[in-house]
Amino acid sequence: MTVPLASEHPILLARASGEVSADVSFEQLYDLYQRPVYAWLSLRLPASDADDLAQDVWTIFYRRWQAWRFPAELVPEAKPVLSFLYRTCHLTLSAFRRMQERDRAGDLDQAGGVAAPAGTWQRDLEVRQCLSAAREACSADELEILVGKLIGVSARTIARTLGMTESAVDHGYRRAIAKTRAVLVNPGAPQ
Amino acid sequence: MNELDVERTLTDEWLAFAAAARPSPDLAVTTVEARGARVTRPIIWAELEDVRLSFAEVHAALDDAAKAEQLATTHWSMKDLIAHVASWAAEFRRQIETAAAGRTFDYLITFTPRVGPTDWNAREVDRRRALTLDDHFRELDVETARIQELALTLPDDRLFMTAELPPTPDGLPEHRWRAQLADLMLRKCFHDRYHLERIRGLLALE
Repeated sequence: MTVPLASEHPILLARASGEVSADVSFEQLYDLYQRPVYAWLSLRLPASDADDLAQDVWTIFYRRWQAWRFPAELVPEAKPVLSFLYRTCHLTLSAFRRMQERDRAGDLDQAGGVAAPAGTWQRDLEVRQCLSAAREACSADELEILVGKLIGVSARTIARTLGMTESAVDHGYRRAIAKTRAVLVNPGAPQ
Repeated sequence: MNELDVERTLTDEWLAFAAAARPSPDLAVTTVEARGARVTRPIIWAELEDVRLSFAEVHAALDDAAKAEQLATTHWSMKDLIAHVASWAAEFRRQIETAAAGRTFDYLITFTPRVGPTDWNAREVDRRRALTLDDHFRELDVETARIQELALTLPDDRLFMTAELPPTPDGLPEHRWRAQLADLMLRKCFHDRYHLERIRGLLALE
């Protein structure tokens, strides 16, 4: 199931034909996708970190958009920009996680091996019951697959981003739904 | 609640969650005004990871030895081209490590205008002739990963320092290029993508 979004297709057509500039079309694409990108990041990160990473994601996209290669035929159903943003969110978050792990290891060294408090999930946004259950129950990859599907990214793009096959994506999605359901039906039970 | 109900509820909740998101309304404008000049460690690491994964896909697609022997440029086969990209990955890493350590360079790389560093390129590809295609991909992957590590570990005053580098447009040391190490890392991605586009086209990769 996919959350319907307005199409990026008209913006791509206008840009490919030279009707609008790269900067104007960038702002149009930001209007279109700013919320799913921000929601994708804030589902995993505190607001201040989500703000920083959103800037990183859109900066990377801005640079690439300046020299974007359009195929000879633009298929209306294709969402190359959404796919690009999904992959970039994933890669940027991976970088951020590595930096966090490094910082945490450094803190542990300085604290003489005393464990720091477990990571807290401070949220400015209210995450509702089912999404919370999914976040609690799913592995990192399953959550990536789930959100990718909710945003409307193709299984192919998700597979390429996560370095797995399309059938593994489908299996991961079914597993994520089953795990989420299990938490909702039997909260507190071991997963 | 069956699984279909879970899917429906997730969809509704995601919609509400995204609608409640409050991204910066000015981000697009400020990004355009800055011409995308923001450089952070996550940006550098993510860009390097993107090209690293793209070359892993190319490696997987080069499953037939004949594909690696086809001409990719006027003079170079696909295998030569991967050797070239690997040689530059090693060179970028060497330059970043050397400059970050505060050492100077005892060599120059002459970039003939509009042609590039043809002598250096040819020499480095020739040096790798005896290696296999897998060796080239391994070198490329290892060197890219090392640069990613530097992107996360170099102190700020090193990562964003401006260094005098070996490339020069005319062979004169006083005209050597100057660049921030962070920019050098992004330049590596630009170089990789320039060749990736050609390679992916030849392999009919999406």
